[in-house]
Amino acid sequence: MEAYDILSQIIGNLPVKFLLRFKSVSKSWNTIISESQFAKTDLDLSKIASEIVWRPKKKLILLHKNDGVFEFRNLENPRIAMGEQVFPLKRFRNPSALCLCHCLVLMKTPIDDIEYALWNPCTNEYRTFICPYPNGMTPLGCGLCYDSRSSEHKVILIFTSFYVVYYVKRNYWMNKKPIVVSREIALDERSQEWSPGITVNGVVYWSLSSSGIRSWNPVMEINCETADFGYRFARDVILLGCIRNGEIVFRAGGKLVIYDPKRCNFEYIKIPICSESFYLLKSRCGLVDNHIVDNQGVHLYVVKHSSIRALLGIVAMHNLELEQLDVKIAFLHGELEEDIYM
Amino acid sequence: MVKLKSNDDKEFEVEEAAVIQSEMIKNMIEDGCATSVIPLPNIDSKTLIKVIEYLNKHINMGKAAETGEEDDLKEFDEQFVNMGWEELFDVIMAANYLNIHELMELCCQSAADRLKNKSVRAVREMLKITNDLTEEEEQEIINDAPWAFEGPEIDDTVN
Repeated sequence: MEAYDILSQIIGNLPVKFLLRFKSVSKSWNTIISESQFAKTDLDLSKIASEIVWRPKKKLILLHKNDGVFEFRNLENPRIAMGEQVFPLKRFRNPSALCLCHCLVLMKTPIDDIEYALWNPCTNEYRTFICPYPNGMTPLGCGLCYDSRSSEHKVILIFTSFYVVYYVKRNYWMNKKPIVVSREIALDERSQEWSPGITVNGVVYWSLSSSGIRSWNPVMEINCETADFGYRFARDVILLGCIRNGEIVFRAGGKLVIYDPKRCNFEYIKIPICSESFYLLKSRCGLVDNHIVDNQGVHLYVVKHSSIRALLGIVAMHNLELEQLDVKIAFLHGELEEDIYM
Repeated sequence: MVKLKSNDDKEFEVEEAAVIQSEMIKNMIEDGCATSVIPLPNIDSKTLIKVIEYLNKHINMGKAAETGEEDDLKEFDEQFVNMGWEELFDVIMAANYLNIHELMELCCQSAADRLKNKSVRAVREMLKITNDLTEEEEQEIINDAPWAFEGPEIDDTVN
């Protein structure tokens, strides 16, 4: 039994391709790989990956290192690299990973707004598709989601006045659907920044910039199954990511904003900011499942307690020390040379 | 200091700060049953020396990050896993028995890295596994995911 555990721990570190290959080593390997550690996803991705997709139990972070080279890291132990994967399509120069859903990544090259690729970094299979709609317009945002009802992935592209949905399995583009945000406010077509959406419980969310009333921008949501859209406004928000319980995190100036889709409620959390502003607020980073991840792979837990989570964030980001002090005896600790945030 | 005894009756003295990285020994010390020598009947002295070397190096993991010794530690880790198969498995067994999480992760990753890119035949030979699958079963697995069995990287060597 013990040897079995150890063996499954070792092969748990292997990339998917080798898991599938090593099933043929022996009966016990086949059993270990098929059952214990690795869940076969029930998703029908056959059209994309042309094979079954396996998802190891380990949570992986995909980091973009440089031109098309991506690196896997284990979320629990990011010090150890789990291997590299190179995006195989050389035509896509300097590709960026826009959205992620299950094992699939939506890729785009900065020089082209028409062609996109869906890539499975685990199996290194990819498929490209072409958007028939842009007519020289650059999309403002994109999203990737999975519709469990029709069991297929959908790609959503947002333009200034409409959005389109691409059905991955059927290789089919839905007709344009108009976006009317409000009579006074339209989406800002001059916005240069791409807004990748984040999928939570079958709904894709974006923070977009708008022309019109300054400093208020729409948070868009599109339901994956019905392809209906909705929006609400918040002040200056930029989407960061989501946390485990389905809440969505934005940053707004010096604050973190937590949005709870169930209650439609924005909650602002003050972050004590030092003179040179807090790392999280100036760098582009995202949250993966309670962890804040940026391109350096820095991560931390976002705990449930709303104010503590922001504080712990700063501590971990700056590699500071966190000390719990009783206020009454704080003065006994003598002269303080470091800055302390409370 | 804590005394550890390998199965070939050699004793080793280790600092408590180092040895408590092992969950098992930490629990023993907390429960007060580590007053004299701790016998480790599953571990031979050669493996134990290796494990102690690791524990001593990793004594202040938290501090290392602060003082910028992380690269140094990483280098040590890379050197550390540079050992033979048999030895690596001995260390994995020991780490599992002593419940040293970080060491276990490190060694399992190293073992996986060595298996990566290997052909099925090479894996069987490396781990001394006899193939007990029938030809049909094997063919079925290959048919499930033929792309996993091809590729320029396949390495048939055994080492």
